[in-house]
Amino acid sequence: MRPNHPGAAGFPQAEVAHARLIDADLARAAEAGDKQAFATLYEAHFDFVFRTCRRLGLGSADAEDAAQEVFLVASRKLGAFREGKFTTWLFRIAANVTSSRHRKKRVRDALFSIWVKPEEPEVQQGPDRDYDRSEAGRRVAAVLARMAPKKREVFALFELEGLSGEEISERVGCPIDTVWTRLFHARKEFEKIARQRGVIEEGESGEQS
Amino acid sequence: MSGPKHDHQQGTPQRLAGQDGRLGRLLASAAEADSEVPAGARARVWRGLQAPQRPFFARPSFAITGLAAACAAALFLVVSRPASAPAPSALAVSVVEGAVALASPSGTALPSGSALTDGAQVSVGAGGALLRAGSVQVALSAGAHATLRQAADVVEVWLDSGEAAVGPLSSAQTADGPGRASVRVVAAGAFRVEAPPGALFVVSASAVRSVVYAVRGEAQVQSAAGAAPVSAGSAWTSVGAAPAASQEVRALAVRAGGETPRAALVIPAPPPSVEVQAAPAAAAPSAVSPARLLARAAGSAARSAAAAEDDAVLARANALEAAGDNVAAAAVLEDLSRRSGPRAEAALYELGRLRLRFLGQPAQALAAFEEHARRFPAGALSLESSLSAVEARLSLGQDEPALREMDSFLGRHGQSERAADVRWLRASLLQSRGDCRRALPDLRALSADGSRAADALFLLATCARSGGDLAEARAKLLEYQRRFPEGAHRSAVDAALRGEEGR
Repeated sequence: MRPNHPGAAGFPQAEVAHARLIDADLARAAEAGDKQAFATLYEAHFDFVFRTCRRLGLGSADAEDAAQEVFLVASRKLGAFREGKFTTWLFRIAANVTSSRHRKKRVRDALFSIWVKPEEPEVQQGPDRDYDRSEAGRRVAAVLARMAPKKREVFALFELEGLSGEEISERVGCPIDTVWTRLFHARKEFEKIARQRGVIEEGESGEQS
Repeated sequence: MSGPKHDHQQGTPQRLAGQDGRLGRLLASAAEADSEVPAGARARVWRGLQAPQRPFFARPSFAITGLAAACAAALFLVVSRPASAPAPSALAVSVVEGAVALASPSGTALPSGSALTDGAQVSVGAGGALLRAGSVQVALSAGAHATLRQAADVVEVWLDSGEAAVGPLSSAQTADGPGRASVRVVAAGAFRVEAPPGALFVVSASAVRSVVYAVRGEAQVQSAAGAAPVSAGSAWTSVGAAPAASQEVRALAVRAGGETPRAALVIPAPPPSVEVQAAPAAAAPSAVSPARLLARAAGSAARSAAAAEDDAVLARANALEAAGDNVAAAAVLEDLSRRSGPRAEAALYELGRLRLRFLGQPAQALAAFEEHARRFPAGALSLESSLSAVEARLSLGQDEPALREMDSFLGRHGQSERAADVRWLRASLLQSRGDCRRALPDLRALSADGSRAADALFLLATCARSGGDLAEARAKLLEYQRRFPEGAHRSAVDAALRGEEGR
């Protein structure tokens, strides 16, 4: 059975029909009830939303749920998008949704997940262990989950996504000086949490030696 | 500690990833970690978006989130079906009588006899409505809003607002139904009411509290604090004292009672007040003078009018929230909370809850809860507000103040229905910070009995193990196996014991 998603059985001509419309036009059309317009927006930006959720510290399954929530929120609030980059608008929604999930998960973890701690191997690891990528991703995600939202965003976009200051400034909607200030404090917070969780050890920091 | 090097004037700071040291390697690896979209994810998410659904944020959630939602207006009725029955693709729920409209497509009216589909969001018209599911019928009050969903083996009826009565069909009525069913009810994801077949009960939801009236048969209310039986003729409420059953509640019970003669229906009287539903502190002095009483009496009519107006405002905020416009809902609540009206307290609490749960503003939420504590120190929602303040502090990473608040809470409300939850939260937090010593008294108390006993016992074993007392850890694990053979941590317990034996 073919999946019912844009470009497949659901809206086969979505991309073609709306290829020349810019995001703002699509948003207006979608707000007016044009399902194809919304499908095209979805098709164009799903990867961006999913990747944003992952970069901000969600696991793959969580990121799928979060992406669904992001588009659900976006579909309800299309009227609020008037100008600027659609991705900036979507990023704000995705960051809020991700933040909310981290918050819930932190509380939930405090209640339910602490028992597995003694079974985790991290307490036995030495500082020179070679991290494989997925393990490193998991550990960094665990630290990101405990960071303040604004710091988390700047940290992830700069350190993991590799965006420039200007790009981050546009994405999160703040002046570039604010980006650097947040990054400064975000690094301190990341290191503090990483030390608390045993990801790095006392005396280690990101500062170049 | 000095921060990572960067120069605001000279441009981009150097990335940590790839620098010497563990952190640099960690970030470099994490940056390379796969964040590509998995195969099928795009289609799965799209299908999820296409399916009529209740918003994600309205689904049940765990523990403290549930506590924060304790007074939310959503109710969730679950009609369980026989396990052997195949799950239908559409809901086995039909409209028997009354005016029901689907929220989407906007305002579609459903005539009697209509089958409802999974995810249908319905609004009930002026005359109320009666739905039928298997051998159970659900009467919804006029103006109620509900969402119907099909879970794995249950039919769910979420009640956003209004009242619902659940009762059995008579054998004659069941003849054309698809089968018998038992019923359980969950409120706001935090309160669950189970009742055997044949029971008749009414659930009422408002922004302030949920109330369950058991009319016939015994219902069990389960919350994070544990289980509480509600026998026929009694009532249970999420906070404060249960109000007397309104005319509408009585009518609903009659409607859901099948062929039961009206005279046989006994709606319980409200139980004795167990928690004072106080007015704002300034209006509740310890001794009230006769003159003030007279003045109060004279002003009661005016207050009633004000209450009606404030109720309407509160309802508007709830409707905005249900529609997903949380920012507008917060604005309405903030305005209402600034008034001196009778619903200011509820509005202030709801404002904090909205900020905390949906707007991602824990600091502003905390400010609302703190203001609530100042203005309504003995308010009906002070218990819930205190807990929500703790949640906000945890969200902000303010563990120490959160611990102090939990200490204070237990000092003031050590015997309340929320005490076990707070004790558990405090113990969990302390344990997660490596402070088992301070967590032990709570864990020992909790492990004796109650809904947290299994969790607490497991945590006691964890603490013993982390403290090096392997014999004690083993004893606790064995006790867990014995007392909770079906416990949620059973597999972890078994694994831990196997690990101990392998040493």
